Amino acid sequence: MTSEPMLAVSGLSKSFKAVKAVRDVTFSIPRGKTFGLVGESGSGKSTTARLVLRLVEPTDGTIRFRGRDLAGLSPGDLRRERRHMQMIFQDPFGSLNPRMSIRDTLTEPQLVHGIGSPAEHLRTAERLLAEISMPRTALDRYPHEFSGGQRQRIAIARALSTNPELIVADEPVSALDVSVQAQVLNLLRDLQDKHGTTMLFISHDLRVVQFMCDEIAVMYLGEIVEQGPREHIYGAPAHPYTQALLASAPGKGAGKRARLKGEIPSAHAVPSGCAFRTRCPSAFERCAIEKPLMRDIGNGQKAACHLLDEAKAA
Amino acid sequence: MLRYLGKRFLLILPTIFVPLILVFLLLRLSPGDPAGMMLGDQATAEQIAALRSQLGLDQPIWIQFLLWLKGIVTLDLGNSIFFREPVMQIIPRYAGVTILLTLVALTLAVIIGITLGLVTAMNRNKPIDRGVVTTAVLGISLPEFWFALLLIFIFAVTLRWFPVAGYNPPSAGIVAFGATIFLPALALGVRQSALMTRMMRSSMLDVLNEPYITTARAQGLPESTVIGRYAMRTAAMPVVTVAGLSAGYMLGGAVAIEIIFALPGLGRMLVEAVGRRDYPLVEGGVLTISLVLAVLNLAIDVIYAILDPRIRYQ
Repeated sequence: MTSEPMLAVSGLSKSFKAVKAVRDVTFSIPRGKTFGLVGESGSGKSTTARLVLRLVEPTDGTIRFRGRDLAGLSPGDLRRERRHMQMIFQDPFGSLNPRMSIRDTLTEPQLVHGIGSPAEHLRTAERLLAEISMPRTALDRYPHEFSGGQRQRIAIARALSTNPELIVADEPVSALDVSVQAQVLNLLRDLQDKHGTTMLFISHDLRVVQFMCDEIAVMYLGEIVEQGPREHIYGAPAHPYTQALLASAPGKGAGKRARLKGEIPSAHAVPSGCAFRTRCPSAFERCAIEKPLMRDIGNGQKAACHLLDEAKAA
Repeated sequence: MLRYLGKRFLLILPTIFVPLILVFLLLRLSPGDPAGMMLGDQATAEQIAALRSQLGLDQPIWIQFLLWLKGIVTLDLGNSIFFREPVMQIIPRYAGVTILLTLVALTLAVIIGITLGLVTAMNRNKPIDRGVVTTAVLGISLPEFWFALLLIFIFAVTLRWFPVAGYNPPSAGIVAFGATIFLPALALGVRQSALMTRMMRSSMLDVLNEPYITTARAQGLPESTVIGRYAMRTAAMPVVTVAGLSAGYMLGGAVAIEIIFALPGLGRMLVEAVGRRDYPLVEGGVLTISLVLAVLNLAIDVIYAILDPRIRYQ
């Protein structure tokens, strides 16, 4: 049981009519680890998060959470299982019910999942407020009285209120000012250490992902193009897209590598062969004909690119 | 909360007085003379002049207005020119019917509107949604008197479930009262319910797209709680606004319904009083309607504050 990953996603796909938002995504997260999904907007990161949470029905593929196939659960069982998988969304202004006091916001998940007595609900709410460094008086206030960073901390406290095993954080800091981002990320990491929570962390910000994640998958047009431990992805990116992403990030190394041109193609018309070839600086004939497969390049790092073959053959 | 109510209460005063001033001026500036009407064709100019000075109609208009204002403050609205009876005694005989009719019609409209709005929003683009929305458009377009005649034909003439016309006060027993009030209330309320259905549907659809609804679902809240506690409370706000407007419309516009169903109501009394140039009675009637409307609007403000705690704090 302990060796089994907390979350194992296999062959996950989702189409909205003609749009293939997520294609054949496979990854797993060991207990207590943080797995990062990075990519541009439109790369299918958020859809993957929603699929994992079963807020959207997958077209294909399986999601095993705590060793159980989520697709096999009845609606009632799924609802009960949600106690163990909570989420933090991007928009701290929209994700809290404006008509509920912080007290209700923090106690309702416990109430719904039948965790403890009302007195315990309140104690948990008070403890969570202390953990996010907010005064007890916040209990009787409403979301609009707080700033974006404060609200996101409340959203984190709410996610922790059922003591979940997995937290899905979809761009949890991208709506916040940079000065507040660090504060929220530190808090998230401290709380994760303290509670031993597993996390699926989604962001378009490479620095944020580097700070937060043990393992990282890079998504492009609904697919994972490269995946591996953080130090390898950042130290020795294998896929041209990952290289370009790192080059476009501000800070060290910027400008050394080729930058990306153009926009991500529409998911209505995914290019043939390798989806990235239209923007790839090193694309050649084979890329248009044949879809590159994910191949192991050692140290737990995997990437899908024909260049890796060529390099090996040479 | 108290400050909020106090402020609302102050805003009532113009709601009451502006229509009164307008009616007062309009009546006196429009052609037609109550003294002439009362005395008939054969009256001499002297007789008319004598009656005019007896009724105070020969005074300058601003004196008449001040006298009348004094009357309001001392709860003496003068005598009806036609009935030769104090207005304060005539009005209650008619006002009760209209107020009850409005309240029953409003209740029916809100119940129908919220229910259908919910059903259509949750079955968006399914046959039931399309059917109800089309019917609602029809309902908004049809005049009330036509609908009233249709109801009489079906339920009173053909099925004989209800009397064709007439009125039993509540003191005659709830069943007798209900039998005479139901069809008029339905005829009066159906258009408003069509408006409310559309309002509820669109605001429900908006709310269901809010991130906090997604969050609530992802947290594992039962769908009944998500809809009932989270979505409906927010979505009901515009319906409450419409209910306030509807109440005003029904209080003043129930004339046709009152005439068709032979209800001794305020609307009918007002139309007759205007025809007779019975100034005190018309003014008394308008004062009553304004007062009831003001009280209803105050009630609606309280409902707002209950539905949205943020209002109480502003």
